[in-house]
Order: sequence, then structure tokens, then C-alpha cells
Amino acid sequence: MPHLQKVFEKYQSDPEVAFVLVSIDDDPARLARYVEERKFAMTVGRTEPDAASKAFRVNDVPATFYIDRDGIIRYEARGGETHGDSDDRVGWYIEELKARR
Amino acid sequence: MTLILLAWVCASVAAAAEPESSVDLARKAIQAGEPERAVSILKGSVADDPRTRSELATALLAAGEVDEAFRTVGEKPTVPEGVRVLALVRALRGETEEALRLLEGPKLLTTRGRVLWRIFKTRSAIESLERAGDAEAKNLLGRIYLYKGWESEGAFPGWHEEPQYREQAIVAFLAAAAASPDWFEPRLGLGQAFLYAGKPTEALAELDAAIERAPKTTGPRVGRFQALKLLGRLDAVRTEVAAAAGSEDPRLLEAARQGLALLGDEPGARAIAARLIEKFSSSEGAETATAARIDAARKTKDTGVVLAESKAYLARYPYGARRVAVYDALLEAYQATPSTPPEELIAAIDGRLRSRPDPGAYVAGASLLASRGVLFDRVVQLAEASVPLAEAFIDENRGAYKLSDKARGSLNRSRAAAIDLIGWVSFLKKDLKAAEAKLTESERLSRGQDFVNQFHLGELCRARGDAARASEYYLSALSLSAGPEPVRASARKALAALRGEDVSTFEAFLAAELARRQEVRRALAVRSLVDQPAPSIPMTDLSGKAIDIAALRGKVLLLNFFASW
Repeated sequence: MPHLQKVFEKYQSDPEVAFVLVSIDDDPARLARYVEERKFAMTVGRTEPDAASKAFRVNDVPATFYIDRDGIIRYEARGGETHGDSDDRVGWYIEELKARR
Repeated sequence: MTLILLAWVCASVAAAAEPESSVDLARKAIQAGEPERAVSILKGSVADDPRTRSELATALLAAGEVDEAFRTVGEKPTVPEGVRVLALVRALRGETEEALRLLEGPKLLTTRGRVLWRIFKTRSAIESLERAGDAEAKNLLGRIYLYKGWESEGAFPGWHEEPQYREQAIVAFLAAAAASPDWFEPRLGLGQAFLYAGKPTEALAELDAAIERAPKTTGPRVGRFQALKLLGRLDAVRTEVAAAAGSEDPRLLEAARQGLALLGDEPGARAIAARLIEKFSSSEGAETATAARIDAARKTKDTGVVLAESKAYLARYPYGARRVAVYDALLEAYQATPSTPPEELIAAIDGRLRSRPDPGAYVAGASLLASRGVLFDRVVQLAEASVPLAEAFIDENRGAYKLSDKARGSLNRSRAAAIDLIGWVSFLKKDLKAAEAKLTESERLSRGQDFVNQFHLGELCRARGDAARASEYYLSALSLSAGPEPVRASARKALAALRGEDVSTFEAFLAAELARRQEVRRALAVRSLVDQPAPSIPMTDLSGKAIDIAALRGKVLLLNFFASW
């Protein structure tokens, strides 16, 4: 998560890039506290765990999907891999997808 | 890794003309990792004031003589040092609340932090230690940031490869070393930090500094072996390990044992273990070697050996540093031994929880009792206790450590398992309505992926006469790969009874059906969505307004699913 925040700062004012964080918390109060604590500046949403599981086959969090301009998922980082999401790797995915036209 | 129970800063400098007092000499011995020598010095001193007595208690505690330390300090110590010892003894005995009650006030912050860390109140521990600011506190902070935690499925966090924590650990150790230059522990910590960071040369410098200050300790030597191995200097390792193996000092022998294991010489390591256990049975080396034996037997599923050696360990080393793992091994062995009397189970569960009150252990204990069909009230009590513990655990450690996926998943499973157990007890007490509520709640939490829960739901449906749903649940359970064999056998038996076919027909049906279900599960497991359109998914922002990611078409979108636990 700290990685995403740092990378987000880089792309915050880039109109070609969007960051959406979706929580599967069942406790909205805890989620609100968590978001506030971390001062997340990006869009934060909430969904049901079942929806995440059915739609994106997300059973373990975190899971990150990199979606291109046409709405196609091009990269995904699930579970343990996500902790390999260094700033560089996250940035690489974003730049790569930006470069595709 | 040696765990020294106590160390402290030499606060004052004795005037040059005066001989050093016993207390000063004893403190120096402790800083050099030789608490037994400190004990001798203080016992040989004529002074019998509260301060000297509490210094002796401290030394005894550092030397692992917990009961004697307790006797020396008494129930009502009058000096802070004595209070510290008493609190630490209470904590070791699992009387954490009592320990914390004693540790109020600015002089006792460091010890308070130490006790809080023992029970994984990491954030609170860090708060106390930051406020304390002395060398011991800084060293503990270093260890908290450095220590990878418990990476097993026992629901513990580990910060794994978080360079930022390692940096913080190094800062803390450096501060501790500056405040207490003759103390070996911060140098050892720095050495270990550099080893984790893959910097063996820097590590070696620190570890040598630690060895210089404390030549008779295990940790720095083992660290040196690890550093030399990383540097490819295996001949040096072999030479030094051989030298240590020829020693008559149990701490150096333990270093040799770990060194031989590092070199891959398992028979050699076992030989030293045997020597330690035979000749130096009360040493930390013997304690570690015994625990290693139990671990090896556990891996080869040698239940008889695990039972015998674990009981021996717990009798000989009631405060042993590895007793948590030993209790876990014992409970695992009990699980495979249906004839164990319930009282023995309870004693082991209580012992385990006293050693470390983590949420997973409550669930494991409850589960064990439930599987024997005994002591239902205890089952419920343990299961119910685990839920708030898990919540508090997440709260305390979220900020301090990054919860690994395994640990996070483990905590969730722990919660689901606890609720399942409570539901199961309701079922056994014939309260089917309550059972259904809890069992279905657990099913939602575990997304139908928990064998035991699916089995319990099968039993519930069967009791209600709903054969179709019961069969569905049994099949669902059996299609999951986990689950204790005796319970799997029960599921198969129950299913067969429901279907009422002859044996061969049933077996053919079961094989085919499970194969089909497992294939479905496998397909679902191959979850990759790459090159597919991003599915639509209902989501709302924190004020309840709908978010539609399709509206972001034309941009590159990073979509991250997370949870706050």
C-alpha cells in the first residue's frame, strides 16, 4: 500500500491515469478510519467480497489490476506478488499502458 | 539466536581511585553476555541491601533462573530494578495483566515495552519504548523492527522484506550502541540487519565487534558463520566451527551445532546436540538442541518421539525460549493420539496460551477439544476469546508491521474457524437454530472453502432431515483437499448412508463426482483475467455514491483491491 501511495503522487495530476482502490471491508467505519489514518488521496470505493470474488476472482487481497485505455486487463498482481510491487514495477506497468495507443 | 532476558546500561562511571563495586562488575559481566558470572559476583558480595538483591535477581533472570530470581526479589520489591524483575517473572508465567499493572511510571517504560511486545501489542510496545529512550529500549526497538515475526500459519505478522523497517532497525541499534558502547547486543542486531540486507562484509564488522565484547556468546558467532558463508569463505567457517566444537563451553558448542547445520552437516549437528543434552542439560544450547529434535520428529511425523520429548522439554525448561513451538508440536501430536485424556489436553492448551496468548492458539485448542467431543463450555469460551483477540491483534500490529498475506488470511480463517466452532458446539447441544446462524456466518467468512465448516453444515442438514443439502455439503467438503482424515472418513460414511447404495457403486460415484468438483475448483483457481475486458463490479465511494469504472475508459486504470485488516 505505501508503494501505491508514493506512485500515486507521481500520477496524481496526470489526466491519462486513474487510481481506484476498492476495499472489501465489511465494516465501513473501520474502512473510513483506515483511509483517514493514511490520508489516501486517491479514489477509494467499497464492494462486497462476493462481488470481488465473482467479478475479478479476487479471494485474497491485495490484488491489483492494470487496465488499458480500452478497458482490457493487461496485468495483474495477486496476493504475495503484490508485495513485489515496488514503485518501479507499478510505474512500469502504468507507463507501458500509457505508451500503447 | 540467543535471547537474553535482561540487560541494562551502565549509567554511572566509577571514580578512578575506587575499586569497582560488585554491582558494577556484575553489570559488566551481563553486558558481556555472561550472566552466570554476574550471579557469582553478586552472591559472593557481602552487601545485602535491596539494591544489591535486586541486581542479583536481575542477573539470575538473565541466567534463566526464573524461580530463584522470583524468590530473591520477593513479592514487594522496593526499588525499580526489583519491580522490573518481578514484572518480567509474572510475564513469563503468563500473568501479563499483573505484570503490566506493576509497570506504571516513567522508570518502568522499557520493561513495559518489553512485556507488551511479548504479547504482540506491538504498537503499544513501540510507544512505550520510544518514550523510554534508553539503550535497552533502543535495542528492543531494533529487534522489533528487525524481527521477522512468526511466519508460520499461526496468524502472526512478519514484515518480511520491508527495507524501511530494516532501516529503522539499524537506526535504533546504532543509537543503542552509542548509548551503551560496551554492550554486545546492539552490535549483534546491526550484524543481523546487515545479513538480512545481503551485506555480509558490513555484517562481519559488526559481528566481530559483538564477539569482541562478548566472546562467550552464541549469537554473534553464528552470525559470523552466516556472514562468512555468504562471502563464500567456507573453509574459514569449517575451521571456526571445528574450533567451537572442541570447546567445553555450552554456548560455543551451541554455536558449533548451528554452524554444522549451516554447513549441511546434519549428523555432526546431531552429535553436538546429544553432547549438549547429556553434559550441559540446563544450558540454553541444550534447550535449543532439544527443541530442534522435537521439530525434526514433528517433520517426520514421529508422534511417539514428539510426545515424549515435548513433555521432557516442558518439564526441564518450564521457561524455555522455544516452549511455544514445543507446545504446538505437543498439541499436534495429541491430535493424532485419540486416547489422550481430556485433562491432559486442557493442561497443554492452558500451558500454550500462558506462553503466548495468540488468537490462532485459542482456536486450535478449542478445535482439539471439540474434535474429542468434550468440555463444550471450554470450547466456546476459547473460541469466543479468540475473536476479539484477533481484532486487537490486527489493530496493534497493522501499523507496526505490514501484515503478510499469509498472516492476514490466517487471521481471517482463524475468525471463521472460531465462529464455526461456536456453531458446532450449539449443534452438539442440540440448539440447531443457533448452530445454523453461526455455521452459515462462518461459511460466508470462509467463502465455503473450509472443510470443517462444510462438514459441520452437512451434519446440521442431516440432523434436520434435509438429505439433499446434506449430501451437497459433504461433497463440497470432500472436494476440498484439506481436512483431518478421521473427519473426511466421517463425511464419506455419512454421505454413503444418505445415498444407501452398495459399496462399489458408491465409491464409483464418489470418485467421479469429486473429480468433477475438483476440476471446477481448479478452473476457478486459474483466475487470470489478463487480456480479458475488465468486468463490471458494483462499488460505492465512502459516501455511498456509485462508482463506475467503465466511465474511466480512455485512461490507464490501476484498480487495487484491499482490506483494512
